[in-house]
Amino acid sequence: MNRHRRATLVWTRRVGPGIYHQRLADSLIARKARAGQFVHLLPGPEHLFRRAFSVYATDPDAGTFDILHQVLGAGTRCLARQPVGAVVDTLGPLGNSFSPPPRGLTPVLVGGGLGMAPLRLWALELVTMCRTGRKKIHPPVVVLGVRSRNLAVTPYQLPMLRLRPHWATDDGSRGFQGTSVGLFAAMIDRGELEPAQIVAYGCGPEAMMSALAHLCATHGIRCEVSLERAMPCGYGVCMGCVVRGRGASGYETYHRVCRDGPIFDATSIVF
Amino acid sequence: MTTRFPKPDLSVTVAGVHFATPVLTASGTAGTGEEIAAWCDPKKLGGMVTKSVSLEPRPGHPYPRTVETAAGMLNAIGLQNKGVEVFIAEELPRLRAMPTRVIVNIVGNDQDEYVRLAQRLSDEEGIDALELNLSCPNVARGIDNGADPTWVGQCTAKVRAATGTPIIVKLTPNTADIVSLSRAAAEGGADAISAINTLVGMAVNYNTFKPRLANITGGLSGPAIKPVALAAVYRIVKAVKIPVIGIGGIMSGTDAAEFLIVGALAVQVGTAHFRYPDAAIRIADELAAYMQSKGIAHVSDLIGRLDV
Repeated sequence: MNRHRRATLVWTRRVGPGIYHQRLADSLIARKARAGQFVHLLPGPEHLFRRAFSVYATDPDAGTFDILHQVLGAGTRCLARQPVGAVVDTLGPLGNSFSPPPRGLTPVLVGGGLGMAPLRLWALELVTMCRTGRKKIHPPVVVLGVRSRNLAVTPYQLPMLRLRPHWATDDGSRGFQGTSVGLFAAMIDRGELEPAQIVAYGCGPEAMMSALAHLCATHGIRCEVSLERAMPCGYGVCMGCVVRGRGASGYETYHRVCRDGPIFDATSIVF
Repeated sequence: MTTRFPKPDLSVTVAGVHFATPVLTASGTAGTGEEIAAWCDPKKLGGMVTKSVSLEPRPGHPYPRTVETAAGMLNAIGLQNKGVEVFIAEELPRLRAMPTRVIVNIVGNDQDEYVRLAQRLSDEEGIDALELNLSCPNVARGIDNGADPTWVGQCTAKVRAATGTPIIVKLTPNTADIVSLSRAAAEGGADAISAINTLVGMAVNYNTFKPRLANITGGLSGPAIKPVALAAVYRIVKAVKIPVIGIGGIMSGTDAAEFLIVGALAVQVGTAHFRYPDAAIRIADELAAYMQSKGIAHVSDLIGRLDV
């Protein structure tokens, strides 16, 4: 049976303007969380609802998991200010995870803003799959977009794996000028990526996921997107975090992001 | 040494149905059993009230459907459900297998739909009671009818004539006079009353000038409405002879105790489930601890103890 967990805050690092990388200790979540899954944290006792965060990193040996978030309101502010050692009431890991790429394909990870958090963990899992050779796949290509260079947080530990993100900024202050989807499209146009040999994974704002789904549909690229919603319960009962989608037989329905997702085949969503 | 009172007996009988504890799940906050069963032992639940079931499937309202507010939340889900036939085929077998009491909440567009739903569900095994949602604030005509005592009385009487299953009528607080509604339900033959449903509310994004809910208005629940709910239960208990199930902002065992003290025979826990999947069980445990600390041996010794 699942139980809510009492995770302990190990440390908090400010890694950008209002952006916090936090490590929490909970051996079960550290061991079980897969890329794409999320944890549901109660910021403090005065808050009615939890806040959902993608799992950014895990260390099963040390029994820790990390989140990356931007302070957007009272809940995230409260969490960012929790002292080291604070006990954080947590549900998780929740939701589904990214599915491995078909044999022989190159995974392209396209992130926007803090959407890179689950993609960072996925990049790590993909590299492990490549190294162990259990899955015949190619190392991932990581494409990240932010508004401006000061928001370009280098994904934790990725440089150690020689995975250098291709950066896009809205203002052109770092790398490609435009969005990460724009950069992804440019890489296809320039012949750096061959649509028939890649599979895309996206996480970021909804408009960006819509653009990515459209681009992938145009090129016939298989694509999974990670979606974000305000989530009261996080485990499927409140029906609050819905997204318009298509059912198995093509009829329109509402999917629950927390329980049917947060990872969806892009073709199952009506953007 | 402090005196240790024996473990209290929480069991109650409401509308002829025996519940292991007086703490049930409120409709729409515990799904149809599948999700919550992964988080708690259903044996310890007083009972499970399902999400509203309608004759035909309903897609529900667009996103955003929920907003957190001061000490509460607004929701406008729009009664998303797969319809009674899918409910019977897919969800009822799972509920029936759960070792707890099952109350199916039904919602119709008109009186005839309530009757048809009640008839359809009466044929099925494993349903301990029906709860008539005469009070959803988020669908056209939901409150309009539910706030009219004549309509409530007629609807209850028609369902009463159509089924032998115990009927609980869930009332809206969005009325000047909830007491008249409760009398109408009692006279219509209801076995119990549950109150309150959510209060109509609204929230606005002052940056974008847009309402925070796609449906514009929604239903307010959570701790913010507990005083309103307690006053409603207090007045209904004085007005009718049938049992009352208290609902509204119950987050702890002592919150539940307050409803029992004013005279509710049982309570339903709703919004608290969005914070803790096992909220109903935690609250029942807290209620037991509270009773033990007060030396109250049986929950019936607490019910209606209000000292005015």
